[in-house]
Amino acid sequence: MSKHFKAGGSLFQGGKEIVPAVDGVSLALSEGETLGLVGESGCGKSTLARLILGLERVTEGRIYYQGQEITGLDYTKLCDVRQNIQMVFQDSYASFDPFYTVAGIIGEPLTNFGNNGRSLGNEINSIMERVGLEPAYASRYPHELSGGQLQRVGIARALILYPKLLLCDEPVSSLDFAIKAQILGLLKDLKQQLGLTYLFISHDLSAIRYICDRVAVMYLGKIVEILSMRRLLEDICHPYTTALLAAVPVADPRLRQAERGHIKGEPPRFAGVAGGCRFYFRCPHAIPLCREVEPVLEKVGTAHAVACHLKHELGLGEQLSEVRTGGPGDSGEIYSQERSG
Amino acid sequence: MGGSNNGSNNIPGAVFAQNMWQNFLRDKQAMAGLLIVLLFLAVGLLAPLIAPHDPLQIDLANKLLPPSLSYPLGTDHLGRCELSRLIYATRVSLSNSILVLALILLISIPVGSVSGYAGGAIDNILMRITDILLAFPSLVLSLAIAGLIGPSLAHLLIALAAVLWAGYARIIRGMVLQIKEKEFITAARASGASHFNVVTRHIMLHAMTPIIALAALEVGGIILAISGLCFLGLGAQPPTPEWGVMLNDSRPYIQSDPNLMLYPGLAIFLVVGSFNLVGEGLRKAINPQSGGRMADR
Repeated sequence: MSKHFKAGGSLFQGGKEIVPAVDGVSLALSEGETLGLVGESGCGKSTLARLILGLERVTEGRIYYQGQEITGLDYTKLCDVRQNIQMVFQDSYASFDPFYTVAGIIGEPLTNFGNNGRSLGNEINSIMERVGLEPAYASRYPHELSGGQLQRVGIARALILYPKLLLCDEPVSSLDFAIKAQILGLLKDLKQQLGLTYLFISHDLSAIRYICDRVAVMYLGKIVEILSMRRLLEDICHPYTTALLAAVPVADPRLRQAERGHIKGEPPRFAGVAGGCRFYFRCPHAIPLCREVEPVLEKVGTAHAVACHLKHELGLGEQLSEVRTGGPGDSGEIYSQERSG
Repeated sequence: MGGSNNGSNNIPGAVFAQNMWQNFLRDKQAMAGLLIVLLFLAVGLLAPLIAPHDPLQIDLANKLLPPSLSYPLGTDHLGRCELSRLIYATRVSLSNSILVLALILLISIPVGSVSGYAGGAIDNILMRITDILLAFPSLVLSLAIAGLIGPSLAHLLIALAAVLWAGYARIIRGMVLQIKEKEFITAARASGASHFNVVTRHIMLHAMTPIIALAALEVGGIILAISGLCFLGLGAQPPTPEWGVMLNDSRPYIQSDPNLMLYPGLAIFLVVGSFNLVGEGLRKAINPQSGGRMADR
């Protein structure tokens, strides 16, 4: 059994300008795995999750769940899907109705699926226990809870239907470090206990490394590289992935290298990415071909796919080691060019 | 997430409700208004108990009497007890204005929330209908409708509701538009809530407080409209005790007995004024930043 998502070329129309927030993404998730989705802010990660849940309409392409197409379903059918796919939101606090108590928030999915009976309270209690919330919190309001507790409530709400797939949209990025570790640990435990599959969206590579089996790197609405977590350092190939990894802060100053591999500037506006590689303007290795032809995501290993014209030249870990050791005679300045016209 | 343009939206629900209530209780004007409104409500409810006479009993021998012990406010041109008529008129005015309000909300809440939530073509059609209604002066239009379907109190109520719901629907639509963009609405959808559940369990919960404030603010206007149209002879017919009818009845005697017009006028003034104070107080309590200015609608 495989879960196969294809969110291809979904275009969001904002006024007259068409913004391809998610553009030609093809991703497959197999049961029981944790797929990380990483990328800069605004690259379309959350939109992808919303598409999968049917919260946004897919412009083009198809989404499959357990072999069945779930694109553009009507409400009743979508409900069956939503029973199996749930989401943990980045900002839990904003995702809770402030007039509801914790028990009301956690129980809402159940009541949506017709459970109003006596078992509702039991279900809420058992799920609260599972995510490590004291029963006393059941009657509290969201504003009375701390960030970590809120996130636990968010997880409890997502899990009370016992879904098979959990979409975690930056579940830990608003938390401080200690709490973040707790929540990640909780997610990891829950996955084992309940046999869950995660799509773990984050811009935080340390969280991704802790929890994920595979990681898909997204840039401006496209997947640029898919890597197996176990062979991350060996396989890493795309310059953007390298840059993301190099941007992870290192605690020990002696282990820090020069700011090589860091990319500068912000991603160009979506409207300006017609033709050519999207990363061209910020890529330290760009060649003229990159400007003309958009590279496609190609499989280069058993669990490794990359979209880059220079995948063989840049190949497989070599570049990273270069970054890690610091290349000779390089001032750290990298190629960065303002987009013209 | 999502900039909210008014401060109260950032305050969590429970705290917000508590704060609002405290703000309201601390507002002396609103409290004075509430006191008068409650007084009138009590008078209306207890009318048969406190009215000294039958408001419909004609006694031509005792017409146009000055105030005395048995007729505290004197008698009108047919010898009916002025005070008793005022007391029963309170009942008529209050119950009918509340009825009109209920009718208005019954139409405008579904229309406004469907329009705001669904958007698109449905929104366009519904809002164009409200535009048409809002393009006419509401009193003139309800006058026309009431005149068309014939003068009676029930017809008047229908006419008023048929005209006044449009403004409400617009305001409710605006509130729904604002609330539906919140993250918790998305979350509710994601957890399997139907559109109906999202609107009834979440959006309406958040829209209710402003709607109540709005309603309190409007009751005064409705009472005034009912009395005004009754004065013109389009609503309650004599001998029904109603403030507008009483005003009309005593019109010929304005030279000799001006107090007969003064009493119902004063009653209208007091009730309308205090409903406005209450509504204004509620509005300020919900949205303290806006200060004492009237909401621009």
